[in-house]
Amino acid sequence: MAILSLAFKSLLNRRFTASLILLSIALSVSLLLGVERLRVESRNSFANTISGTDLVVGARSGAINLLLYSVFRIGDATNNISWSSYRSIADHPKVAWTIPLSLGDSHMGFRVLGTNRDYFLHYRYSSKRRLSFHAGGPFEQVYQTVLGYEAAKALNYRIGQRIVIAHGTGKTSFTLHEDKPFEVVGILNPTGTPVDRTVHVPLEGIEAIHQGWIAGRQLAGLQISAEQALERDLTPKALTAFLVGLKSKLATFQVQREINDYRKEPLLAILPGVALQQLWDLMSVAENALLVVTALVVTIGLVGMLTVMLAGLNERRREMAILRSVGARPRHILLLVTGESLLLSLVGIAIGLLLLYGGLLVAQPYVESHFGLYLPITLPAPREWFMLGLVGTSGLLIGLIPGYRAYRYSLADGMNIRI
Amino acid sequence: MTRTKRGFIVLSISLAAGIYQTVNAEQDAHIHGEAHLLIALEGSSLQIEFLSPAMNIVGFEHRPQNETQAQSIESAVATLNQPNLLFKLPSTAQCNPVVVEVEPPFNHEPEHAGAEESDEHSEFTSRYQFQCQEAARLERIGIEIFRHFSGTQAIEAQSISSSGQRSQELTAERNTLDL
Repeated sequence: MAILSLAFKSLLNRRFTASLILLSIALSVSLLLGVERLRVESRNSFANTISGTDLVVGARSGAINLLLYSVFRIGDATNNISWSSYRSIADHPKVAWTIPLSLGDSHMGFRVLGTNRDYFLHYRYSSKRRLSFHAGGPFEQVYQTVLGYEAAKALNYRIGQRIVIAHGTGKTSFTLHEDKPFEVVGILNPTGTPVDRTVHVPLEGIEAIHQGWIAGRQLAGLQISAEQALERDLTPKALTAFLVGLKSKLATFQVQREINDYRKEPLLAILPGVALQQLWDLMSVAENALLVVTALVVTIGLVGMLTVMLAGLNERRREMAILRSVGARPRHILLLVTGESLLLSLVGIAIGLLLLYGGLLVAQPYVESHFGLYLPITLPAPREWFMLGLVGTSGLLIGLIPGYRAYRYSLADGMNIRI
Repeated sequence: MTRTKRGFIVLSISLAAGIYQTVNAEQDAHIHGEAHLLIALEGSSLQIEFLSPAMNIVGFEHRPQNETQAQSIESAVATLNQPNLLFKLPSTAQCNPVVVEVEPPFNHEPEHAGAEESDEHSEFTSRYQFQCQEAARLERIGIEIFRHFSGTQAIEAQSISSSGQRSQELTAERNTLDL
């Protein structure tokens, strides 16, 4: 113990170099933990987006593709599916509920999702949590809309306001559905999922605003007013995808096969959990690369410490000699120098943790509003403790190198140091 | 700025997704050496479906042409009819097989004599249903299929249980499926 306090005082004496080493270790540790946390939380946020859905059905493409565009609103659908196919699957005796999804329009950069009231009833996120309303309620009429929490907050919308939907999904769209505005009737509570950034409208609303449109263009001279559109048949002709909940999970594979073998249209049914896992398998390559890079950064930090300690040894021969003269044995010198390294790594880790939590505190609202990723401030997970332990142990092992050198010096030099 | 970043994420994920384009057809894909297991557990009911190219099971994919080949099909069917040989369920879960269905290939006689042999692949399909008294204890299943059908190199297993949906790649060395 006395040795450690001596190590501490010795470091204090060289506080400038010591604080530089501390900084480099602390920064590298906070980077390592930050990357790990981002990785874990982005996985969680993906996994939390969909819960309780047995199958996702869309046009035939790839499983990951379908999952990304239907559930995460990333990318675009390859094709639509017909309303009649949807109805025939929705009426399947083993199907408990379905949620139709129609994508393709946007509002100020937020995706517009056409769906029905079953969405608010059956959609689950996180561990089977239901959507709840921050204000208002679900839509009841054709020209009404329910906003995700973030969309409403970013655009500063309130209940009763009227909004215009743009054709297509770009942030600045030149074709607007100006003649048919939607009234905001509900704002959802935050969920930490893409739902927060979605503008929900009834399927009939999507159909109504596209009345008199062909191939993405409004027909010249053919203006159909909002009221006229209401009188038409607003049954949708096509959907982007739909979510399926089954009465019994035992039937999942059977219904999946039936949908994949559906004769009238090439459909694809996927198990969202399985598709998500395939996505992880892909992403893990990039994640591991990132982890290796941060591990290297930590290594560089520790090597920096080694360099400084080794360089300092020569200057400290006199200090060692004095210690020896007052009765310190060579192994005390070894303990002293190694103890200094250990102390540096441990304090570096502690400061790194402080930096991480400080950074989380500052970045949390920004990351949540810009990337829809909620970073909870929690104690380090077991895996993170393990990483920290690894850094500390490496610090100790690396400290043995200058420690051993000092040990050898003090044996060889003895008291015969000449200045 | 947000959009560009998001755009980048979208781009990289969609690029990655492209590689997996064909995965959805996995249940239809017929790859020698590979088989599929579909496992669903709900309440006390455990259902297992095993789909495998005949090549993995008997080593050929045509109608049996001699006595030996006919016998090897018979013995494969006999093995497939014994779920306790193929699946090692934890004894504490107290599971009993209640349904066993084995569908060997070439089960139907050709429509008329001399009909052209189709050069399509043939598959064994078998379905099992267990009733488990302590289904909560059913956390993992040992898959012994590799031991009995040595032509099987990998099994792509998809499982559904109260802990969610997952897929696992099983091999002779890693033959335990976590539910």
